This record gives sequence, C-alpha cells and structure tokens, in this order.
Amino acid sequence: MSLEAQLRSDRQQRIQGLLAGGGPATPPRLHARIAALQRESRPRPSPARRIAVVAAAALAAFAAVLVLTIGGSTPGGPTLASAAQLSARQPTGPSPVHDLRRPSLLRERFEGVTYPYWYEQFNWFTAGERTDDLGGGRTAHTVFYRHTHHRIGYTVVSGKPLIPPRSAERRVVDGLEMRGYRDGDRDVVTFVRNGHTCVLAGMVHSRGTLYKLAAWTGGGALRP
Amino acid sequence: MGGASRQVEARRFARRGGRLLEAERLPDHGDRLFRAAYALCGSRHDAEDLVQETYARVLRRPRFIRRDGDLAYLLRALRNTWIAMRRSEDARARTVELREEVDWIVDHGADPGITALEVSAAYAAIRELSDPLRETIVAVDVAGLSYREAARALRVREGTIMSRLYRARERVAEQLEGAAA
Repeated sequence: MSLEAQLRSDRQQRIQGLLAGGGPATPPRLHARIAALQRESRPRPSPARRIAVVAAAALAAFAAVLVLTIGGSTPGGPTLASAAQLSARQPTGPSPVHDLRRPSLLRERFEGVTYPYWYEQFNWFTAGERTDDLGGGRTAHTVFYRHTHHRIGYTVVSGKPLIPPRSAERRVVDGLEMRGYRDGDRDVVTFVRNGHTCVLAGMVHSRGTLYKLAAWTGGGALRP
Repeated sequence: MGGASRQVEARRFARRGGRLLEAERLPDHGDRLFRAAYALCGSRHDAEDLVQETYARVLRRPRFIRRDGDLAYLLRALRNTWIAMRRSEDARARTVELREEVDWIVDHGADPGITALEVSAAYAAIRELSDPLRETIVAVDVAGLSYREAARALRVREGTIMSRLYRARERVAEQLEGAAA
C-alpha cells in the first residue's frame, strides 16, 4: 500500500473511531418518555376482562360512597372530597405522553379537558393515570404528576361541577376562579374547566404550588 | 390487537422467516438513536422530538420484521420520521434553538486518544454534509449498522453505501483538519 493510501485509510479509521466512540449524552427525560411510550404500547386486557375490572371498580366506588354517606358526608352522590382522595391512590395505567404538536399539553383528554404538560415549565413529570367510577353516574379520571418526592393528582370529574366546601378560600388568577382547602394531610385546589370540576390534590410544601399549576394556561393552550 | 391474536400472527410470520419486533428491548437503543437523530438534526430539542416520535410510531402497533435487526428497523423508522417532520416544518415557522445544552461524552472502551471536543467537532462536520452523505455516515458510523443493514435502511445498494461513506469520512476529516489548522 502506498503512503498516500495508508494515510487515507488512517483518516477513515480515525473518523470511524471518533463517531463510534462518543457522542451527545441522551437527556434523562428522553429515557423517561421512551419508557412511558413502551408502557403505553403493552397489550391491553381483553374486553371481557376490562368490563370485569370496571364492574369491580364501580362496585368498590359504590361501596365507598355508601360508607361516606352513612358516615355523615354530603348525601346524594359524589363529593369533592371523594374526588380529591383519588390523588392518594395508586395509578393503574401508564403515564400519558407529551403532545409534540401542542408542547404545553399531554396527549390525554377527558370530558373535553386536556391535561397539561408541566415538565418544561415546572419540572413536574407524569406518573401514571387511573379512572374511577364515583357513583351517581359520575366518572373521574386522574393523571398523576411527580416532582422530587411529591406526587399530586389532577382529577377531572364528569357531569356538573361539584360544590366546594363553604370554608374553602377563593382565589382568582387570570380569570380562573379557584377554591383551596386542606383535607387531612393533603392540600386541595379545585376549579372548573370546560364545565367540569377539576381537582388538584396532594402533599405539597405550599398550596400556592397547586394554585400556580392550576392557573397555568400553557400560552393559551389551556382554556380558563 | 389482543395478546392471543398477536401470538397467532407472530407464529404465522415466523413460519415465513420473520419475527415480531420486541418492544421490551427497544429502549436499549435509545442512546444510539438519539446520537443518530442529533447528527441528522443538529439540535438537541429536535433530536429529542424525533426520537420520541419515532418510538411513538413504531410502538403504535405490533411490527413484524423480516430481515432487519431491531436497530436497523428503528433507524429506518427514524429516517422516515425525520423526512416527514422536515416536510411539515417547511410548511410552518421553525423554532431556532439559541442555547444548545448538550453534554458530550466519550464511551468506555473507546480509543483513549479521543476527546469529547473532537467528537463534538466531528458531529458539527457531519452537519455540513449533503443529505445522502450525512445519512450514510450516521447509519454506519453513528448507529453502527453493517453495510448491508445500512443499504436496506436507506434503500440503496451496498456499493453506494461504501462510496458515500468513504466520501463522507473524507469530508469530515477535512473539516476537522481545517478547524485544527
């Protein structure tokens, strides 16, 4: 091999070695997004099994409402408290994924309410979802979000808005009226979006965090 | 598709020499795919979106593959997604990333003479290549596909891959030498 050919061969190998031996580090959040997509792609249970699961959940929710009613809570259907308590339960479904075409939203919608994507702005990432039958023909869909060791639930309840407790404080930000109160060890902030009750609940340092998240409009993508 | 019908379909495909793409193992290729996406797009943000969209498309339904390895299949999907995203971007205003926050790393086991600075310069040089040369060097040197796999992924002959790869490496080397001079 001539000297020139040898030099060319060395150059080729050098470039190959450079590109094979390093590169940009993958952002950790991309791994999280891929894992969420993978979880979402897992085969869902058969229709018969899904019906059985929903029926069991409905029965459990009915029993819970019955217990609450007998125990002296507001009678006549689901309460805001029962919706807020869903944030303490475990997710049963995969995390919704980010909607790339509408960067402030998730690809998750319930009763016309689209769930926000809070990672870019607030570092809250999605941590699963669940759907519950609250009785009285009401269904609640919750998306969970995590930030460090805090977890909150964003629950949307079907049907007409639920009545907040009289003692709840009122706060209005950018035209969005919110009510906040304490329920045991959890803070709760509720508001109405698209005619449905939305509940943000969880253990956070300050209720102000929940107000801030609730009032975020994502540059106008989330209607008040 | 339910689990049972998916198994039946997979068995039928296996009899014809194919197999079901294993979704469980796909995340293992995330790092390689991100590097390939970054080399194609030249932007961290676009590369993240491209990889995410590729996985979303591939995982949307079961995929049966005949000859490709998983990575080769993913790279082909990545390239198709990149082309589709570029078409849609042409129709709307582009976001320009002002601050690139990418950490450059040198892998364990790589040539000890390689520095992260050189790697980043090589990626910058790839950005200056024409699309055919860039896609080829990304498929072979960045993603690590064989010539045959790269030829299938890019739908060209193996000979074309070899000649394009040679020219692409030469151009990258010239850019690096020019920058060092």
